[in-house]
Amino acid sequence: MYLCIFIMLFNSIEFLIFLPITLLLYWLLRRQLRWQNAFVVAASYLFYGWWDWRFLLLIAFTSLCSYFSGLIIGNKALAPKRRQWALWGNIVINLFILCLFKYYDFFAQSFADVFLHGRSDHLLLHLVLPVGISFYTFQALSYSIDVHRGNLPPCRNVVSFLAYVSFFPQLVAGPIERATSLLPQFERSRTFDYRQAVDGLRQMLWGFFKKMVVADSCALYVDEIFAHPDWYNGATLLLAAVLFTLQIYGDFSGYSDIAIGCAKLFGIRLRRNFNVPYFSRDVAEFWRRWHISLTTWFRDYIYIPMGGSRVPKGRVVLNTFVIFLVSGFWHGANWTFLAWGAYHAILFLPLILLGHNRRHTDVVAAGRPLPSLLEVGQMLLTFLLAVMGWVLFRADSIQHAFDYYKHMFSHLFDGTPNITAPIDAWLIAIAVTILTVVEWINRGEPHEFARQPQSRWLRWGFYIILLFMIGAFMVTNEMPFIYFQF
Amino acid sequence: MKKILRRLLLFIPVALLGYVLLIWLLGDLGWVRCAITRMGEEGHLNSRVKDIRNYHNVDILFLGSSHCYRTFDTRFYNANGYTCFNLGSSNQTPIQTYILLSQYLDSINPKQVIFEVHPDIMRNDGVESAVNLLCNSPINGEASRMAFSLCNMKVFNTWLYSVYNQKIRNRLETFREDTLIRHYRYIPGGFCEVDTNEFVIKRYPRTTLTINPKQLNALKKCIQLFRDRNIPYLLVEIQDAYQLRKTFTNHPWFEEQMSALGPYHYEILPMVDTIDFFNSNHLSNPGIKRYNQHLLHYIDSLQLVQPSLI
Repeated sequence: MYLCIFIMLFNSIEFLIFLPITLLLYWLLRRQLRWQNAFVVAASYLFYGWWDWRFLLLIAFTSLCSYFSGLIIGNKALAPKRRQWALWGNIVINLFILCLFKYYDFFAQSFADVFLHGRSDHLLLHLVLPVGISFYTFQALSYSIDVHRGNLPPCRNVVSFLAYVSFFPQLVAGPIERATSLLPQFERSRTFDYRQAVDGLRQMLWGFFKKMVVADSCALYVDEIFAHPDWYNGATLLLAAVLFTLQIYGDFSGYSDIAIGCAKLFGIRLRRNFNVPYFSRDVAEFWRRWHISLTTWFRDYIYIPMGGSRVPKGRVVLNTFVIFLVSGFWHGANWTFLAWGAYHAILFLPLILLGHNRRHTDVVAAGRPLPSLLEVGQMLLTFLLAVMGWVLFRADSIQHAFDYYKHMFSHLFDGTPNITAPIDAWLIAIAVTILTVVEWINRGEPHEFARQPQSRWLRWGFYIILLFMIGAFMVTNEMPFIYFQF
Repeated sequence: MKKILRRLLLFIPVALLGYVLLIWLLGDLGWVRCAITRMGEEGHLNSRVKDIRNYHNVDILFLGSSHCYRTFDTRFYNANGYTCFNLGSSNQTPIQTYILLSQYLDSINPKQVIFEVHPDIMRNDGVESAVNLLCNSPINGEASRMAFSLCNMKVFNTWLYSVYNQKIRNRLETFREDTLIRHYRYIPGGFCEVDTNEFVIKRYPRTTLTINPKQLNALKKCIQLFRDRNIPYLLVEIQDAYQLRKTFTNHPWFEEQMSALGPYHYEILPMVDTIDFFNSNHLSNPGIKRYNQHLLHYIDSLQLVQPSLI
């Protein structure tokens, strides 16, 4: 990974200073929409340039390409062929940049491994992967496709468009916004809404808890065990896989919560990215609840144009595999991500072929405080299947993943989990219990920390407990978010 | 906007108060261990700061990290006529040494100081030593300033908890540290003895040594304290095991930096990793014996201080 970690992380002192100043100036400009949007662009570019200012040129180029191609695509006076060319031109340019930075070295190395006995020195570019490139490229692409489809008119205000692509809360790790939802919000004036802002702060607090307590604590165990799987018994490896399942959820959904909450402070609504995925009753439901902005992107722009599930069964199989493989590959240039995609395609296929993929579209145990035994079994099975898949995702290579599985299953009953780590297992148990209870209570709410006690003192008491856990148990080195590397 | 600012102005002090109370109330619980370092967990600093009250006008004061308190055997120097005290502690960097000196230098009033310097310590951020110092040594203004300047939540939490322990519960005085902590036995005078050997042959990555400017600055401040009191000092670097030493790409640069600060002694004795070393950077009992004989000979040759027990 060539990922640089000097980015302004949400869990850093720099962001703690940056956010209030930005908010204050932003709302001072509330009567001048143009200046307010220009300020959003400036703040977002400062946020992104904190990591490496040179990559501002890349994001500006991507944005301007999409902006001007949108003007051509949306100009009905032009010949359809010319508009089509503009669309494809923009898609090719954006994908070329993405592939160059993210995938070139991977393909060059794979080519060298097969044909040049691994001698790849003269082929590799060793380019630094720009943080968030997959997110903002997809956002820019969706705009031109939506304009081409007539879902929205082309944006004529370049500042609004730059703000749409670069809006800092969701710039580096999503949610991947659609122009149809976000762009209009930059084109009309925003008013400060007390309730929305309080809800945003609350959601940010929950996001910080998930990232800094749950994910980072799990990471200490996970990193150690995944580095030396042969040192541990099967139960320990299984535990580490479960902990990584919690880590990646806490990390990524925590980031999304902070981003969405932060956007609410600016009067901007972002789409939900996670909807209690580990309470899913089958894999299809899991994918409707996990990284929603990405899965719906692939559904709308790749799967449905390919025919989706309304084609002969052979094509359904192909479409399903394509969508999952692309989704896996989107996460990174490694065979492990492709394998992870293929694994989920295999789990998903029976459901779609039998027409069971939309069996669970409601929330689990709706209207009941507890799930039935059947639902518990379904949720546990789905969780376990996800756990097995995350091993592929976390492993450094396919060989590493298979060694891990082999060691885990062949020594599964050799003993109880046995590890020493820098933090107490009780802490993780307490944090995971809080996570599970709060998310279960809020499973039908707009976000996982929406429902609150009526009493202010009870509410504040719980916030203080969360703040205590964050302050007391945060891993003192700032740990970057996993999804920054994608 | 005004309403949310009003609420935040109310919430923030309540939250801060709640945070402090939770640290104080839950600080004793086992699972809070990773958030707060408590008395007597590592390095016997608690015993040392109580023991130091019995030592005045010593011939030699040893300062430094674990290399110091696990190498300079005060019994050996006593046997050779020198009164001495070892004020080293776990991972103690010059930042923490300066705070300890500000508390104890005048009462112990040494005739000479041996200041152990090690590349690992000079590039260290000082967090491990800071929490050790805050929970085991009296908190004064200097220690509090250090706690805030390190910008680290573990240091801050330990400071909060130690303030409660020392100023409200008076636990520092009543606490009795175990003489034996994780195989290390505290010997009055500050040295820690260990009877086991953990040496394993490992491969270490090549390392380019650096110096943390904050540590260099603190070391200069310590030296200034000695100069102000006309106390001769010697910077000493104890050799590492060969398998670690060979990975340093620029050790001469480090020697140069240390030599610029005053008298500096670094000599590689013919030692065998598996016999003379406890681990890659700590000496075993045979190694300690050989090193102290060598250092005593060197100190005698300098004739800076006469042994007062002879």
